[in-house]
Amino acid sequence: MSDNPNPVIYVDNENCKSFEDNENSFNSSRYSIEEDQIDEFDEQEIFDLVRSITDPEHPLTLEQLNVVRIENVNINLENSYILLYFTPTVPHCSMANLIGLSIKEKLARSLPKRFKVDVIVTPGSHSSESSVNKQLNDKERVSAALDTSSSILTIVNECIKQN
Amino acid sequence: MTDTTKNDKYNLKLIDSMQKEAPYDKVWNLAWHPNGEILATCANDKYIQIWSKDTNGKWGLVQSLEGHEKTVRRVAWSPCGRFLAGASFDASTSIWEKSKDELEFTHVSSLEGHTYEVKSVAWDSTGTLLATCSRDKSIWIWQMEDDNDFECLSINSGHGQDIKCVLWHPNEELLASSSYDDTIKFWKDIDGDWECINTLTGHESSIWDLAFNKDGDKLVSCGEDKLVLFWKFDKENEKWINIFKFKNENSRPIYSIDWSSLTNTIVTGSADDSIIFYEQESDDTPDKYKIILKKKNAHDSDVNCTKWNPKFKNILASCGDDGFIKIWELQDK
Repeated sequence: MSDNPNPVIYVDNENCKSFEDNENSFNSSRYSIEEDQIDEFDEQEIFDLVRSITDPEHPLTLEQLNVVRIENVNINLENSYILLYFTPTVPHCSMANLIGLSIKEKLARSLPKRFKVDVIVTPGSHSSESSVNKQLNDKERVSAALDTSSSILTIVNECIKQN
Repeated sequence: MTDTTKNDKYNLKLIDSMQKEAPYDKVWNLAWHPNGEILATCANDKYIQIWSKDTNGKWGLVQSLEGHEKTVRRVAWSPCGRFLAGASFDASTSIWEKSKDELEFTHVSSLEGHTYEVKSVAWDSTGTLLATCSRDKSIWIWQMEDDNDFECLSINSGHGQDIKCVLWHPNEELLASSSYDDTIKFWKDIDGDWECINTLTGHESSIWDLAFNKDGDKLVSCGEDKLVLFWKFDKENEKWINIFKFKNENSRPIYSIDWSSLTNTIVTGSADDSIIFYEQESDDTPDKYKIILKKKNAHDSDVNCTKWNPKFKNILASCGDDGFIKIWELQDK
């Protein structure tokens, strides 16, 4: 039974982009045609990677559910560090770990290896915040959870595939 | 204590760098054979790799041992160098026997029983006892029989969470364990029953690795909390006490720690891609330590394991999430 049968749906028109737009920007070279210099990662780019991840329970994206928001993405380029806060749909959401795993795995597959990524629950938004955070940032447990042939990997793959 | 130690005395020289053929995978752990000439490594690819030097002194892959269905998390040689154990996420521990003169291995046993991933495996100093630990919060102690069979002597619970590491004392029948529950526990056989005799607190998060000094009266631990803690056995009160600690707030979790029995130098590997070396501050201060060198960007990603060569001074190996295994020499300038 769903923890949250009637989720509130948010639409942020200003940040909405069509899939085609996203695909074009992802595939384009990191060198601007005019400036011929490296176009560094920014918060928008990180957000664009995770906004379309789907919720494990509803046919809606994390952006639509307000689970991820661009203002909760922090990037420190000097240290190649990304800190992303996500807000589970309800304080007792049992899917929090799964959502966090999907975000983490999506970023791990999309970003260069040098980036350090911490994905944590927005403070005060979940009843098991510290426990969820500890598990999500234990890379050994994350690796075991996503070991090939695990059922969790199947669900995560479903959540992060492009629709 | 600042981390920005001037390396005006020491230098870390890269001697060799190895990577197995594609697909490249995170290398989780490595172990030196007691003769100091062979390395075993393990990775996400479910194999245990065996490396040694060719006639030109170049390190190369000589064998891949297939026996697990999931990631192999840790490898350990028996003290005589005849057996190799591999702890895997498939909930089993494999035992391999090395042929006497060649680098050929025979799978001789599979230790089953844990409910979830096995995180660590360790041989005691006599090579007769083997300990394993798992995410199922239990520690199993096995005894090796004459025909390469293993009898389970004890199944121990006590840790409240996932157990990350087990390590035997260098000369006593005493086992240390470290856990996701932020504690270190000591286990001893009391009248035929293995029991927890000490619990050490001080870490603020999971403890990833442990190392004893040569005499076994000191222990170091490292963890998710970026702490390196030094412990000393208080003989009078028969308990371990924390005597020193390092923490660098700007760093990342520390995954590996090793204490050289040849030089007494300590080495760590961490998620900030660096390898750091520590030494006693001076001969007059046995309970104080200092950082003598920090090698930044030792790997292109997390450093998962750093181990001193047991035979050749100042030689160590490291492995990381970048898929590389590196051989280093810590040099006196």
